[in-house]
Amino acid sequence: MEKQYNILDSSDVVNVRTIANAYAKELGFDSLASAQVALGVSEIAENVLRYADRGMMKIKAKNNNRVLHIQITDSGAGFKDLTKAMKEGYSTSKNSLGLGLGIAKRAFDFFDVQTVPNKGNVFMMEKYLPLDNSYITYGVATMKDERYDHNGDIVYTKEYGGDKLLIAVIDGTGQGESALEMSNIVKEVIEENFLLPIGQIMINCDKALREDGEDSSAVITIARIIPNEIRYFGFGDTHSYLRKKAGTQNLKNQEGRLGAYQLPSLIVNTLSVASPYQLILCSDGIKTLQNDKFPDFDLSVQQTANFIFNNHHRLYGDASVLVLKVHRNEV
Amino acid sequence: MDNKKKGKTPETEVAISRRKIMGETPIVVNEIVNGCLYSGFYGTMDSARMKRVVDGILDVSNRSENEIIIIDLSNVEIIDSAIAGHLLKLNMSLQLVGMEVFFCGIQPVVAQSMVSAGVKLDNIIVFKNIKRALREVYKKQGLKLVKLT
Repeated sequence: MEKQYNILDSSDVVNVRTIANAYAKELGFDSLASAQVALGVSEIAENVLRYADRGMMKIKAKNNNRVLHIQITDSGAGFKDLTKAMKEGYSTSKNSLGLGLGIAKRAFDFFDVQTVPNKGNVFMMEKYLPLDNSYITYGVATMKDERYDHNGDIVYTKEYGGDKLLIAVIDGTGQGESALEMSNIVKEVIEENFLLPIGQIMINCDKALREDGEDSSAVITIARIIPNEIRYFGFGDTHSYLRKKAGTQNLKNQEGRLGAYQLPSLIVNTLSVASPYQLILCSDGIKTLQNDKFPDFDLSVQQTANFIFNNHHRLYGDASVLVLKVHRNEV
Repeated sequence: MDNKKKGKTPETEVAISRRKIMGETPIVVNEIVNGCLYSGFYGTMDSARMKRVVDGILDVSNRSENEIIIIDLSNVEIIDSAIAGHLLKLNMSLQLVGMEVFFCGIQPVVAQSMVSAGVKLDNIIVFKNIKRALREVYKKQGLKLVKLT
C-alpha cells in the first residue's frame, strides 16, 4: 500500500526519513541499507525545503516486497539544467544542491529526476533487496598480467529489482592502465544504463569508446539473469559456458569489438533455463574450456572459479572467471 | 524560510502546531573534567533544532573558561550533508573562539552510510568514544589516571 507524507518544514524532513528507514527495515533491508535510504530521503527532503515551497513523499513496496520505491515531488522551479545539477559541487544557491543530489543518487540503487520547468521536480528512488544466497551465488577469480601494474579486465555484477542480476566480464584492449581505462568506460556506461535492453547498452558502450578515441575498444560478455531465463551477449574473444548437471554448452560469441570496426547488428540470445545451472564467463586470459575441464558441478562457485583460473589461465594477459550458479527457479 | 509558510492550508497548520509541541531544544553542556566541556545531540535532530543546539553550544563555550570541548555524536542516527554542514560550522566556529574540538561516538552504520554515499565530514578530530576522547584530554593536560593503592 502506498503511503503519502507532506514535507513542509524541517521537522518533516526528520519525519519522512524516519518513516523511510522504518519501512526499509520492515521489508528486510539491513541496517546499512536502511540508513542509506534514510540518508537519501533526507538529502532530497532538505532540497525540497531549500528550493521549493512544499513537497510530498510517497512510499511503497514493489515486486513482491523486494523493491522499496520512494517518490518525492516538489513544487519548486525545477532544475534549469539537470545534468549540471547532478554534478558534484554545482549549486544554484550557496548551499550545495549538487552535492545533495549526488549523495542521494549513491544512497539508492536507482535514482531519477524528472523536471518540469516552473512546476517542480519528481524524484524517483529505489532500493533493491539483495539476492538471496539460496537463489543465486557467484564467485570471481581475476588477475592482472604480471608484467603490468593494472588489471585491464573488469568483472561487473549488478543485482537489481530484487530478483534480477546483470553480469559482465569486460576486457579492454591490451594490458595495464590503458586497458583498464577502456574497461572502465564500458563499466560506467553499463552502470548508468543497467535497466536498458542489453543491445542498447552495447550500442551506448560502443559510442562511448569511440568518443574516447580511435584506439579505445573492448570485448565483452554480458548477461542478464532473470527467473527462468538468461539474456546473453558475447562479443569478441571472451568465452562463456552454460553448465547443467547433464553437460556443458559453449555459448556462441559474435565476432567484433566494441569501439572498433563497424558495429554489426547485435544478436542478444534468450535462453530458457531450469535450475540448478551454472553460467561461467571468462576473458581470453583463460584458455577455451572443453567439456572435461570443469570441476565437479556441486563445488561452490568460488572454488569453481579458483579451479578454472588455476588450471586454465594463460601465461600472459589479464585473466578473469566469473562463475554464477542459480540454485532454484524463483527468488 | 519562514516567509514560505504563509499558506493557510490545513497541512501547514498541523506542521506549525507540531513544531510548537516539540518546543525549545534542551542543550546540555557540562564541564566534565577540569578545563573540558562535554556536549552532545539528543533526540531527533532536524536542521532547525540542529542550528539552535549549535548556537547554544557556541554561546556556552564562549562564556566558559574551558579550552577543550568533547561533542558526543553517539545519539545521532543520520549525518546527511545538512547535518554535516552544521557540524563543520560548529567545529570551525569553536576553533575560532580558541577551543579544541573532539568529536566522538559516530555509530558504525552512520559512518558507513556517509562513506558509501559520499557525505564529507573532513578535518575534524574524532575519537571512538568518550573514554578515548577523555584520555586525550588528560594527555593534553599532562594528567594521568592512576589507581590509588
